[in-house]
Amino acid sequence: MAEEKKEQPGMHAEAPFTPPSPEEEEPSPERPGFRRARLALRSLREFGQMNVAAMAVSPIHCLTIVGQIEGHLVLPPKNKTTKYEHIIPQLVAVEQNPQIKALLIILNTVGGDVEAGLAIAEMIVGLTKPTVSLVLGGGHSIGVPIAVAADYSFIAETATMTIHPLRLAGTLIGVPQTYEYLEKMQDRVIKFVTQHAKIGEEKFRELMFRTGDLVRDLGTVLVGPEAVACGLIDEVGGLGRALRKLGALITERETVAAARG
Amino acid sequence: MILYTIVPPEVVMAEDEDGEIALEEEVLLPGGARLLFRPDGKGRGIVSRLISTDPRDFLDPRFTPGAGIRV
Repeated sequence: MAEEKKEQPGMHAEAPFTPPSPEEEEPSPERPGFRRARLALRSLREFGQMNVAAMAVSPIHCLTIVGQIEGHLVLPPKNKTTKYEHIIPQLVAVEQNPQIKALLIILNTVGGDVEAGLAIAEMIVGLTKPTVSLVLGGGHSIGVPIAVAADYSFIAETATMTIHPLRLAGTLIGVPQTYEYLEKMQDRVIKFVTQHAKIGEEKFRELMFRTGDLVRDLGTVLVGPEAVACGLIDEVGGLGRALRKLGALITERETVAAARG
Repeated sequence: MILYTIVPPEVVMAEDEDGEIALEEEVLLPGGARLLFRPDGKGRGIVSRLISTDPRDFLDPRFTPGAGIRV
């Protein structure tokens, strides 16, 4: 926030960052500045101007999903978003990098694009490394399938999850869709959640269409322990428990792998 | 596109009226992390967001939101 008035030493990059100059009217398609910036930083790391320990990768990576989950449509700038195109390559990198042993997914999301949300959830299910999710604050709407996609899920004592129907009036933006299409989309969410959580389809639908809980909508707000009681989430807990669980899952996998030789 | 969110659509789709949201630029760091910053047009920028799955990246003071960078 200190703008440029007072440069605190060490608080700014010593490397000459050279992304495309904002004054440039037409940036060249290759964006050469990006390459230069990358090289500058790489040399910074390789020539020891930075802490050597920083070169190692943390064995547990953390994927943070906040605000609206953004997919096909770029949302207006006032929305804080987690973008699909940022998440997917990160998940690929987590799967591919042998130094990364496990993934912690932290959710504080109000929901968002159905297709993007389900895609992220499917990517998490497809990871071969241990995954644990932790819902903090809120894991609403399309955040629900993402939370249950992990091998094991936690919810903070005070966190909430809202389960409500997909609706034409209010939640649909864009071209008119048929009611059946919407039903189909909703069934995709229900199917995913009931396949990956301990909650049954009947119970989940009941929570989704319950009346009298939400002021503006059908549905249910589940607070921490309630989400566990209905089988949606595995356990109430915080960061420490989530990390301990990941550690246990890593050990479990390594033992199995060692036993197989 | 179907949005499944608890935020009402009129709030999600509300266009910014004061138009004060500064343009953000993005740079890809060697480890695969992304740094979002607001250039000030005078060769400097302010870091606004770091996108990375490696928690150690967030301990690097150069990438902290609010830190200045040379553009």
